Amino acid sequence: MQPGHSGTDAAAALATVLAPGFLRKLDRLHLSVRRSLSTRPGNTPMPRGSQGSGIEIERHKAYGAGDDLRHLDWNAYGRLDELLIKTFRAEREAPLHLFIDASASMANPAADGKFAFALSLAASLAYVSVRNHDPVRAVAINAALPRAYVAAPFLRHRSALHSLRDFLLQLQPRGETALQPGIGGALIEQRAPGVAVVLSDFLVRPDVYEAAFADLLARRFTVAAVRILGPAERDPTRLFRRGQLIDAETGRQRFVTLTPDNLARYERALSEHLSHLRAFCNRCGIAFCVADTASGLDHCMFHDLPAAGLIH
Amino acid sequence: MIQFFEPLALVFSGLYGVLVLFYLWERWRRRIPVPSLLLWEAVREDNLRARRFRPDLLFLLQLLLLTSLIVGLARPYWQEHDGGQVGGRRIFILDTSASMQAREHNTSRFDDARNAALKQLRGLGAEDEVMLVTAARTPEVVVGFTRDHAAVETALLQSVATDTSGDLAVALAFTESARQRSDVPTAVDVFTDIPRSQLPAPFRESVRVFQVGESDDNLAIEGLQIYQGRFQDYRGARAYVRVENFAHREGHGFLTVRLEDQVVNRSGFTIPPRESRGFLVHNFPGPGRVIAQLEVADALAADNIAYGWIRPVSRARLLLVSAPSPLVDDLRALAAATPALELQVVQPDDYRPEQALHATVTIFHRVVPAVPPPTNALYIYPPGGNPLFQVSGDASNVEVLDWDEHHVALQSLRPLASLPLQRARIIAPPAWSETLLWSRTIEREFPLAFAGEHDGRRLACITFDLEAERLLSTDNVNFFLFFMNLLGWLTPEQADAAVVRTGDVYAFGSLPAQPVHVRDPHGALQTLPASQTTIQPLFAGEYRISSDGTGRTVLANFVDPLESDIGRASREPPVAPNAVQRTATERADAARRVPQNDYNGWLYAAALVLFIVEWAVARWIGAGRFAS
Repeated sequence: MQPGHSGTDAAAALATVLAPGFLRKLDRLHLSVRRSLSTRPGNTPMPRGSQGSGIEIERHKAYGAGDDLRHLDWNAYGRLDELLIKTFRAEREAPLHLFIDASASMANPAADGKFAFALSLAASLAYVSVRNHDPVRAVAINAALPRAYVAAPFLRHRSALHSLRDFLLQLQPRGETALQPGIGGALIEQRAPGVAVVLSDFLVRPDVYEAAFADLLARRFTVAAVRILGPAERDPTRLFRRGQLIDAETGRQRFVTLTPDNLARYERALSEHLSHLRAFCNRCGIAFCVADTASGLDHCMFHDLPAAGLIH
Repeated sequence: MIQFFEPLALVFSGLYGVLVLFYLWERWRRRIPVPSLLLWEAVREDNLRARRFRPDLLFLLQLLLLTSLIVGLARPYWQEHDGGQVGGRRIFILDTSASMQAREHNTSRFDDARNAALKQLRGLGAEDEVMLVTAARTPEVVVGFTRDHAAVETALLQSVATDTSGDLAVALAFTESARQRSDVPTAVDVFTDIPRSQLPAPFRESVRVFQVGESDDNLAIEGLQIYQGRFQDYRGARAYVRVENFAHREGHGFLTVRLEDQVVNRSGFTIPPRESRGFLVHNFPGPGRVIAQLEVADALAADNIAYGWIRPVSRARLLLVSAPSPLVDDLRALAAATPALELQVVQPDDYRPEQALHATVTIFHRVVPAVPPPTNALYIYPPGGNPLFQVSGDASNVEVLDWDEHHVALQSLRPLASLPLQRARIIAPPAWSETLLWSRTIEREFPLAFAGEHDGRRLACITFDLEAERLLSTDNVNFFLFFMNLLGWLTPEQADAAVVRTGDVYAFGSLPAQPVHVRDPHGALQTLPASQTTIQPLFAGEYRISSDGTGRTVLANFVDPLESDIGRASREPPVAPNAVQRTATERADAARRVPQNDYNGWLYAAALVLFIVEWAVARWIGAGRFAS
């Protein structure tokens, strides 16, 4: 991918995120994971289920046929002459999947800076994740990509954050929104459940984003939806009074004059769009929040996302 | 009715189309990319007509602003009555001074003024009477009040601009008196290149001025002076030409000085804006007509040529009646050194009046004859008891205390004060004389020299003892110059040619009692009655006056820095005369009429207000658009 026209904004936004002061503030945050935990890599899958490996002993149980003799408590056998098997509290991880909508709609209106905001939000969440020893990967989604998505490798350490930054900077918002094909394609490679955060403006018909979320929920992901919204999108009078509207993704045109009546109609349509998205998320147990680019990244990380229950 | 002083400015109306195109382009340019039309599907789309063009408040304000500017540029004014809607009299004053010859683009000021006059004339009603007055150095009524507009038109077409300076004040005073005497409404229209604000104040408000011309592009010969002493021939003559650049930019050209057809000097020059430069030319090959001509591409040609005259040598014969003395020796030496002087000396006892018949001037030194000579005469230190002057005493060691600097014998002599003189006669100056030098004793003031015309001859008297002062002494060079000037005054020469300024009245003297023919510089021949002995040259160049084989040459120069300074700061539109209405009828009419006026100032003010309003509206809309 070639750097997009918003490359400068994105670089500035990422530089803000990766500034030492902001990272220190992010150190206090943790992802809230409810059910989507996976074993650490290296654990051998056994036919009867896995014996969790770890350091902290959970309990002892009587030896049974098929138990791993490596976990036999030889000291107890010496004192009690009884075969006991140590069971450990398993060390599990919550891989974080950051699905970034890189469609052309994210670049418009340019004054809103939605895409740069989404990148900075993704970088912040990635830092929070690796800071807590959970792997993270970023996945960019749009219809112009070969398989409707492009994914960065999992990152497991803070020192690898620069490669995530480079990946994010390579992204260019273009093409149409492709939530369902992009998310579905990215999940084929990584089947282990984890946390999925979808950063998008969700300017598609409800059935499109509902299908994408259904995919994630079916794979037992903890899902969060962040609706990126800018001030010009809330109040289009900042952009024009009368003009020819061009759909950034499809190129369709529409001549519109912002009469008070038309403005009210637009505001009602936006409100209904957000209400429907919020209602769906609530119904499906998806954490949801609206991130306003005008409020800033701080507000989003320390107010909106904690309020939605994604981080604490 | 509303009329426009600059109707051509209305072509700027095409800017309306540009404004509409700008709006359409702005509308086409206003393509707003939005993330998706999903949310806009609920919004009502504009209909097709509104997509093409839909003016808003800003557009209307801009339309008004543009209209104010365009109409303001066209300079509208209210004309109460155009043409002959109100019967009356109209006086046209057409400026025919030299500056009206100035070229303005493809035409001349005079043509513009004449066309404006013709336009006004053709707009008059059949009952209107018209008088045409041309105003140059002096006004001339070309056509008196008449309803024959065709005759006035013919006179207008035949009129030409002259090479003289202009004096509109006299013409205005004349027409004002004609207007006041008139018993019907009479208006005065002046067609000139002089702004209304520069007209004489008493008439400024009572006339309507049609001003033409703006260019200041003019280089002019400001003066041609020939320096040739009375007793010098052409070899000692010098010409001084002063060229002035009246333009506000640098002027370039060539100055050619010729003697008849022979080029004496040709110099290229560059003159900074509004400055002048002098050229000194000498080594003339002979006597004759000197022509200084500028080769420049400026707007006014009349002042690019000037004429001068170098006299042929004319010998003066002096008869000196004196006993042997140092003064006789001095005058002998002077005559020997001056080619144009012949000196004959006779003893007082040998003097006979008939000896003076062939002399130009007779000089009596310490002697006064019983019978005055039949020539001009100079008396030096006359003795007491003489029959001509009343000597009342002697004075010694006196000084020159005052002098008449305007007399030709004393011009350019400085300083004369406190020159000590050894001896002088105290003589009461005759009534026919004017005193040239004064001194005084303790008791009274008395003349040291006086001169005048008596019995048809020029007489002069030097009352101090010139012999004692030694005429040729280098200490007394002022006395020598005074003596030579006085001698020159006493020996007037018949000029073969006269150099005058255009517009001046020149008396050419007596000619044979026959009709006098005058050929002007343009070749036109005019016959004057025998009784007329003056001409008024209106064009620069050579006038040949002849009658029965006797001729005179008059060289007329147009030299007038005020007239040559043709630049005009601005053109002022015709403004309603405030004092045109004199009669009771007119006063009553005036109460009903809207005063004729120039409205462009109001329109510009309106444009300014509209601009401020538009700015405020745009700012208000912008504030609403970008309010957070």
